[in-house]
Formats: sequence, structure tokens, C-alpha cells
Amino acid sequence: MKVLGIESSCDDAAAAVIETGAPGIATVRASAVANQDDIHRAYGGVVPELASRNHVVAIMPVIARALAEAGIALAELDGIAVTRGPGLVGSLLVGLMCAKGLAQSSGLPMVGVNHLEGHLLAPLLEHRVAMPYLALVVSGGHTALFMVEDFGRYRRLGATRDDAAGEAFDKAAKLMGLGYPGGKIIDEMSRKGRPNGVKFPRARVKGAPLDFSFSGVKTAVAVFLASEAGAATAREDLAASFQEAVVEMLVRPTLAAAREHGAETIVLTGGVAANSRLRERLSAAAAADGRRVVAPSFRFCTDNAAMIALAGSVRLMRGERDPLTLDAEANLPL
Amino acid sequence: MDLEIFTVDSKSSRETKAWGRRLASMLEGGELLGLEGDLGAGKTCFIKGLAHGLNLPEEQILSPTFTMIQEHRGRLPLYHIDLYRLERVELDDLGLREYLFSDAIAAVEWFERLREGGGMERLAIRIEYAGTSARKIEFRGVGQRYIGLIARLAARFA
Repeated sequence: MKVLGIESSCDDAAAAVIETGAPGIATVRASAVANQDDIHRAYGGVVPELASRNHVVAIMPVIARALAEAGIALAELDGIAVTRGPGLVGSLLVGLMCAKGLAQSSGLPMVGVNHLEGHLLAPLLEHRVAMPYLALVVSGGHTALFMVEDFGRYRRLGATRDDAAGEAFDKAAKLMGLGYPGGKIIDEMSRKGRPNGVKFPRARVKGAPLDFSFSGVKTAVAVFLASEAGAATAREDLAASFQEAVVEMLVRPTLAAAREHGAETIVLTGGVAANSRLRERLSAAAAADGRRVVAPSFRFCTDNAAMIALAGSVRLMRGERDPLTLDAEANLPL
Repeated sequence: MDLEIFTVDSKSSRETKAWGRRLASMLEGGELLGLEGDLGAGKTCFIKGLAHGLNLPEEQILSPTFTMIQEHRGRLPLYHIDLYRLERVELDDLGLREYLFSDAIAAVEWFERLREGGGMERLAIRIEYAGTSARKIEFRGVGQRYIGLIARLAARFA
């Protein structure tokens, strides 16, 4: 079965073609993400980022690019999978309307996919991972722990109460005057710094050991920077200490969840999964506990349409399809 | 006497939330709240209190930096909006106009990034650092409706 995936829940418009023979086992034939160049080229100039109208410009070229890279014509597809939430309604609608148009004109079945389900299943694009497994989804917009019991059966065990971990990285980097994207810069700088250089608090959510909170450490960075000690501390030490705090606050609940629910495999996914210290510490902690960590490669950690195609393909294979009246939902729960 | 500015001191995030709750008790729907303040000052924290005052569970209120707009249904509908990721945004981007001028309460973090924001009638809420956990919260009314709101807030809680 050949499936076209379309994703436009936030900043990136993406399209992918996967080929699958059995649920969760797929070959990625093409996975394209529209970058600013595509948008600027289409507009003939620089435009403000993040507006849904950028997606309007980018979506068709990126779909055409994915089909061309895969060497597959629309008529050869067996179905279309599209993100229907959660995300920005204006952005979601662009991908969804586009999918509906293609489904109607081609007669192909279409299914709507939850963006988070895509992230949870992303490791299957490259690895064989037996269910059930525990997944830590950690990105600029999400920080949550899920038990993946089966396709379509996901149990949320914990989530952030305030900021997402990726957001904390970006904002801390901004406070330290390091630029954007903060996660990558802090990761690189931290290699030259001492992780115990500055004592930052490790927040725990009272009565909810599997939940996260990153708002406090962000404020702690701001307060520390405004102090005399803050001005005298090397940025490398500051970066490494902040990163260590965030990493520990991610690793502890994840290991606790793995133990509590007997998960042998921990999947690390989402954009922050690219952080080298997080990979290192989580893998070490898991190994010491007799568990293993699986993480998709970077292009499948960040937002992409291959994971959406994979999640949708499971339903398409069962012969399911959504009506063309399907709506986008900003707060779509999983 | 109409009061344009009302300033309070908060000693903790708990007190900041309490001021959010107090403000919520005075709202009728259709208000525009423009929040300003540095990273970590407590804008989201204030809105958690506001949400609580609208009978919404506080843990539903997450930072909307990434999603930019989050809709909640409490005693009154609440649109929680965050313009942090946008250097400069206009009313017609992201369909902001519909969110800002509705029957719901629109609470906008990083309001100063809205190009047309300066002249808009609103309750401006500025949170400033005044120590490690202490903050100064300044309520400023722009337009008759909000000047009246501040007068009532001050009369009841000052």
C-alpha cells in the first residue's frame, strides 16, 4: 500500500510517500519539508514567518516534490493521511483542505491523523519496536509520556504543566543572549561547560511524579543572570548547568514510568530528542535498569509527514476512511 | 474618580495567581487583556490564576508559545494567545482579529509585538521582576471600559 502523508500543524508544511505491507512496517519513499526557501521563492521575497498563508503557498509544491522524489503518480497511491490536530487551526486547515481536494478529485480514501500519534509511531519508520513501549515526546510544543499499547491505543501517563522542554531551551538561550534555535546552541556550548557549575532547581510536580514543569528553571536562569554571580559565570557553565537540570527533569519521570509500567523499550521522539546529553543520560539510565532507548533519526524526530503517513496507513489498511466533512481540531486529544 | 493605573506587589507566584483570580471575578466576557513582561516574569502564571477564577482547571493552562493560540471553555470562554515567537505581528495574521474582538476573554502574552496594539482599548497588565520571587504587577486601563474595570478592581481589592 502506498500512502501520501500531509502535515501542516505548525510552522512546517511537509509531505511524504511511504510504502507499507503490514501495520507499522514501512519504507519511506520520500519525505519533504517545505523550507523558507520554498516559501520565499514562491513569494519572490521574504515574508513574515508562521502565518498560515505561508502554508497555502508551500503545500502544493511540497506535495509535488514528495511525489516526484518517490517517483509515484497520484493515481498510483492507495490513500492519503493528513494531520487534523492538534495545532494551529489556520495551519491545519491548509493541509486538511488540500488532502480533501486530492481525495475528492482522485477518489482515494483519506484519513485524519493526530499529530502526536505520528510522533509516537515515528521510530517504526526505521526500527522494529515491539509494542507495548513507553514514549517520551519532547519538542518545542510538547513534553509528554505515553504508553503505546497498540496501534490506536495510547495511554498518557504524564505531561508538562507549563512550558515544553524545547520551549525552555529556546527561552533560556534567549535569556543568555545565545540566539536561535536555542536547543542546538545550548547543546553545543554545554560540551565546553561544567554541568554542575550553577545550581539550578529540579522541579517536581507535587502528587504527580510523571508530570513535568520547566517554567521554574527558566525563571531561575533569568534571576541568576540578573545577579552578580550571573554576570561573572561563563556562558558555557551556565548552558551546561541549565541543560543538565532539564535533562534530569526529563530522565527521572521517564525511568519512573518505565519501571511502573514495565516498559523494556523507551522511545525518545520529538525535536528535543536530538539533544546529545538527553540521549546519553537517558540511554545510560535505561541501560543501568536493563532497558533500551530507541530514537528516530533527526529528520523523523522533528515534524515530518512520513510519520503521519505511517499512522494513517494502519487505519487505511483496515479499510477505514474519514468523510470529507472531517474538521481540523486545535486541541484534538489523543 | 477614574483610576488609570493600579499597581500591586506580589511576593510569590502564588500571589501572582491570586491577582489573576481576582481579576477573573470582575470579567463579563469580551475583554482584551494585553500582558507584557520579560521571560519568566509570570505572565502564564497570572493566566493560570485567571483561568482558575473562570472555573477552569489550572493544569489545563500550558504555555501557548508553540501553539500560539489555545481556546478554553470556562465560566466564560478564554482565548490564551502568545505572540512570543512572532517578532512583529499584524491583526490579520493567524486570524487574530477574530480572537481579539469576540465575546470571549482574550489574554495575550507579549502583546507589545502586535503592531496595531498600542492604540487598542484594553487592560494592559505589566509584570516586572522585583526580586527572586517578588513581582510588581501594573494594571493600566486604555479606554473607558477598562478604566472603569480598574477602578472596580482597585475598590474591591486594594
